[in-house]
Amino acid sequence: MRLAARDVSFTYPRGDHQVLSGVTFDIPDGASAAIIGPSGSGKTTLLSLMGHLLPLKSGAIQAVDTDGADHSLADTASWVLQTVSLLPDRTAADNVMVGAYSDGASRADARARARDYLAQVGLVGREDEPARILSGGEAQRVAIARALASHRPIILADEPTGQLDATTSATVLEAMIGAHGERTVVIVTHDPAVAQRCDVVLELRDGSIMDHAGAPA
Amino acid sequence: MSEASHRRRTWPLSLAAREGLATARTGRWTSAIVIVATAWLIAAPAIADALGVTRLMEAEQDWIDAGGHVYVVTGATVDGDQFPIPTSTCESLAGYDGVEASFALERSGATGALTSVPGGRASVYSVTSGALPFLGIEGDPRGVAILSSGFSERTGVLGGETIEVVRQASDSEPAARTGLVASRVADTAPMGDEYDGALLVPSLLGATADACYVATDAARHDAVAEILPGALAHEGRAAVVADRLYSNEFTVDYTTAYEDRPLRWLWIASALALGLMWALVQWFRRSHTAIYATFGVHAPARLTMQVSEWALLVAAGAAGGWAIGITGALAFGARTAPTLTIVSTHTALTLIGATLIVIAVALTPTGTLLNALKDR
Repeated sequence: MRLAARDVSFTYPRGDHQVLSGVTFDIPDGASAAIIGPSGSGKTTLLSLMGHLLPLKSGAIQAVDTDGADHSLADTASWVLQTVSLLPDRTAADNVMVGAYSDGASRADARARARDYLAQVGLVGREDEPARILSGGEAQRVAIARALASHRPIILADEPTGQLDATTSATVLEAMIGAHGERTVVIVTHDPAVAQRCDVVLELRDGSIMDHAGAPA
Repeated sequence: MSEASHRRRTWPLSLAAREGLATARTGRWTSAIVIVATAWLIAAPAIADALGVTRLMEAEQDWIDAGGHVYVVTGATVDGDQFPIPTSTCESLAGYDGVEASFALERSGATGALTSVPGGRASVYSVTSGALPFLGIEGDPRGVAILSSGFSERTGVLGGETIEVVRQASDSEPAARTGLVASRVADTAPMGDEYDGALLVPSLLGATADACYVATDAARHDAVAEILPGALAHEGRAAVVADRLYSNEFTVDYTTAYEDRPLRWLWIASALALGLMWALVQWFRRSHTAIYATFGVHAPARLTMQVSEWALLVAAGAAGGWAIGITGALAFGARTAPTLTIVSTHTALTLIGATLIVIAVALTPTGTLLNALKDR
C-alpha cells in the first residue's frame, strides 16, 4: 500500500500556531519510512493525521493499493503509540488477539497469531500474563505484536522502540519492518539506528519536510 | 499480503459480546465495585420502602381492628323519638356483596353479673347470632355469652369457662338467668369503646332492634353505605348510617398513602446513580474504547460490548441486591408479601432505568482517538 501526502497543513483547534505546513511526500508500497526531527516539529501530528486520529482539514493523505484504488487509513493502518495503550486487565495474548479480530480472525486463529507474534517480539511464555504486570518495554512489544496480528498493510508507529534496549529494539524492528514489501511501515523516531534501518527518511523541521531521503518527494 | 482483503471490517456482534463478558470477568475492582454498588442501590431503597409499606399496613390493620370498615345503623329520629331497625333484615345483610358480617343489637338498659363473680356487674346487651362472626368468634351461637376483653380482664373469667349471667333491668324487677352458658371472650373495639367491659348475650330478638352493626370489605365500603338506609328503613323512614370511626381531613386514607409514598420512586435515584457510575467507569476507560475503535469496534459492536459487560455485572449485583433486599426487609420486620413485590419491582425498575443510561453512554461519541488514547 503506497502512502501519498499532498500539501498537508494543520493547526490545532484554538491554536494559532501552524504545526504542519504544505507537507508532501510519497512512501512506496511495502517500504519502511522514518519520520525524524526535533521535538515539536510535528512528527506525531503528521502520524496522527495519517491514521485519521486527527481530522485532516487541509491537503490530502492517501493509501493507494497496487491497482490504484484509494483506501481509508482508518481501516488499513495499525497503530503503535508512544504511550503504551493496552487493556491492562487482559492478558498479553488477549491484547494481541484484539488486533487479529480486526482482520476477521476466528478465536483459534487469533490465539495462534498471538502466540506467533508475541514470540517474534521476544515474549515467549508471557502470553497469559495480565498486561498490567508487564514492564514498559514488554507492554510496548505487546502493542507491536497486536499491530502485526491485525495483518493490516500499514503500520504507523510512534517511538515504538523508545523503551527498549538496543538488542531488543533490533529484534522488534526486524519483526515490524519484516521482509521488504510485506507491509508499509511509518515510524516516528529519535533513534538514528531506527532511521538507518528504514527505506525512506522524512526529516521534519518547523512543520515542513526538510529532507526526504530514499524516495522521490 | 492481499490488499483486496483489507476492506473495512467491523467486529461481529457475537465477538463483541464475548469480549464484553471477558472484560467483566477480568475487571477486578471495577467489576467488584459495579456489582456491590448495584446490590446496595437495589437493596437499600427496597428495604426502606418495604418497611414503610409494612408500617402503613399495620396502621391500616389497627384502624380496621378499631372499626374502620364498620357502619353503625340506627333508625331515624322523629320528634325526639328514635325509630328501630328491622332485626331480620339486619342479620341477613351478611349475605350482601361487600358485607362481611352484620348483627342487630338491643340496648336493654339491663345490667348483669356472673353468679361465679360476686359484685362484678356490667352492661348487658342482647345481640343476634351475627355478632359472633362480626367479632371473630367461631362456633355455635347457642348457649354462649360474649365477654368483652375488658370484662374478662376485670373479672378474670377466661373464654371457654361455664358461666351463668344474671340479668336485671332494675332493682325493682326480678332477675333473669341465662342458665349455664359457655363464655367467649372478644375484642369489642370494632363496636366502640362503650362496649369495653360489657356482656353480649346472643338472643332471639324481636322484630326490631336498636342498632345494626355492619362490617364491610374495604373495596365495597362506600357502595354498602348507599344501600343501608333503604334496606334498614322502618315504616318508610330511612335508617341513619354512621361510620363507626369518625373521619375528617386529617384521617389517613391508606390507599392514597400507599399510592403517594415517596419511597416508591427511589428506584429512579438508584438507576441514575448506577447509570452515572457506569458513565464514570467508561470515562476512565475511554482509552480502552479508543483502542477497540482503532481495531474495528464501531458503534454497534461497542454498544454490544458494553451492554454485555454491564449485563453480566448487573445480573450478579441484582441477584445479590434482591436477596439482600428480601432478607434485610424481613429481618427488620417487614411483611413477606409486600416485601417480595416491592423488592422485585425496585430491582426490575432500577435495572431498566440504569440500562437505558448504559445504552446512551455506549452510543455517545467518544471524541478523537488521539485525545482518548493520549489523555490517560
